[in-house]
Amino acid sequence: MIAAVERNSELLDDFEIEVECLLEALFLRWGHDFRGYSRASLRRRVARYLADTGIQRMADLQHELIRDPQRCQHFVRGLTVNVTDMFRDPAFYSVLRTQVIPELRSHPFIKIWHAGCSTGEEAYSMSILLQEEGLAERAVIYATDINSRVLEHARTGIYHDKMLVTARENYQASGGKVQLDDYISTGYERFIMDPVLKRNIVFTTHDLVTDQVFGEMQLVICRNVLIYFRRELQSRVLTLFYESLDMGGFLGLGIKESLSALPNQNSFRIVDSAVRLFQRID
Amino acid sequence: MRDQQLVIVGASSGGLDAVLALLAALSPDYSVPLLVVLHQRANRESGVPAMLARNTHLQVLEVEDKLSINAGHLYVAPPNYHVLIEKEKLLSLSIEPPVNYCRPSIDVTLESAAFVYREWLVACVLSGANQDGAEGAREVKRRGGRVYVQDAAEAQVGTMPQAVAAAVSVDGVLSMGGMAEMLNRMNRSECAT
Ligand SMILES: C[S@@+](CC[C@H](N)C(=O)[O-])C[C@H]1O[C@@H](n2cnc3c(N)ncnc32)[C@H](O)[C@@H]1O
Repeated sequence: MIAAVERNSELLDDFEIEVECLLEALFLRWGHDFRGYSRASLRRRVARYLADTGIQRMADLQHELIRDPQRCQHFVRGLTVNVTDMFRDPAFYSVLRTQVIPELRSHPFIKIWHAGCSTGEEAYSMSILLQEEGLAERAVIYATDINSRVLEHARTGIYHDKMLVTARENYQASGGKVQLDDYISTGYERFIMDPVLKRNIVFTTHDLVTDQVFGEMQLVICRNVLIYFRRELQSRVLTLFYESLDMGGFLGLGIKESLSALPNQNSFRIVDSAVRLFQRID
Repeated sequence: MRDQQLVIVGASSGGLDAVLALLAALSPDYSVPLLVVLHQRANRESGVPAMLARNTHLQVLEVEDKLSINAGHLYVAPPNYHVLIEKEKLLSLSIEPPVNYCRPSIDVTLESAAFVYREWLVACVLSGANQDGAEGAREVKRRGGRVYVQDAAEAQVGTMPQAVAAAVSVDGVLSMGGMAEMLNRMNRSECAT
């Protein structure tokens, strides 16, 4: 019985061992550190990469990754999951309106950080919200991601039509004051965000694993990013957020993420448990 | 030792009733962890966990990221997320695109669970109108786990269990009563070891 337990938890199969070697190689050669990421999703991404590129053996992939920076960049971009939505989880945005916005009003200058913003839908959603609350003029939104390709997309503010039905629904459900269509123009199966919304967004690369604090924020939003990290890394990143927040600053996580297993959870208090909104304790 | 095993129940349209029938027929000492992957509408809070909790002695939890898998618990996949299983027997979430138009997808969960639980995994696929679960069932069998499907004659929608039965040679085609009996037996034999 004991032996069986050990077998289940200790024994890595061939592919798992190869994934571990790959992560080590990426770090040693290029400094890309994915070692603290959850393996179940990584394994899917690597398997998908092999299938998409037709590379047969992990050993061949590793050989190339160590020697070819272009291959490395291509591979690393394929490792992250970049799915996102406008006003995803509308309840989160309504709680921002009722719980956070009133606090932000007392600040002459407001800094908001979207960590892991992917193609930018979240940042534009925030920009719309700030406009409607009359705070856009004194706010800056830092929208960052590890993946420079998604940031290029984010800067264009152009999205596919098929996102629009959900986006409209979500916007209304989030307490939107007008119509989503007042902020976009449509055509050629695409829609483009009103350029005004871009004025106070700064899109820039930032790696939560290796990069540092870059400012004191009133609000940090990091949704559906920590789910790809193991607990130890989640905890490290939570410290980074703590240090990036002003006294009493807010932290918004994904709707199914929790701090309760992290040793440093006590540095935050829960503001709204349903939408996972927290506040830095001082 | 019961947390050595995991039972995954995949269900889609007509599946909630089947899950309830299954729970009703589990014996009061049943405690092997159960993970229910039920297709649900996205972007609103789910009433399913509360509904299941009213109908089982197991402790019901909607999956949150990095929740650990323990005996005596029933876990429900949240709408709009895939559920993956980590080697450390933790549940992880992902918002990668829908698979078979589904998020959560039964295929995604079965594939990653098969990797971790191998011969200790039992997959049950119930009523549903699509093919989700068939790919995953292949992976479960490949790694030595067992696959059971709801009798299509009994299921409200038989497409999903039939697709699984066409993809792999299943370990049983069962009524919900029969499936509960199989799980009860498994629970008892686990107890004995
Ligand atoms: C699933 S998306 C979430 C997008 C958005 N926040 C949402 O909830 O809709 C996860 C994003 O996290 C980014 N990411 C992953 N690892 C990161 C890291 N170490 N530093 C910064 N961003 C990271 C990915 O590139 C991806 O764009």
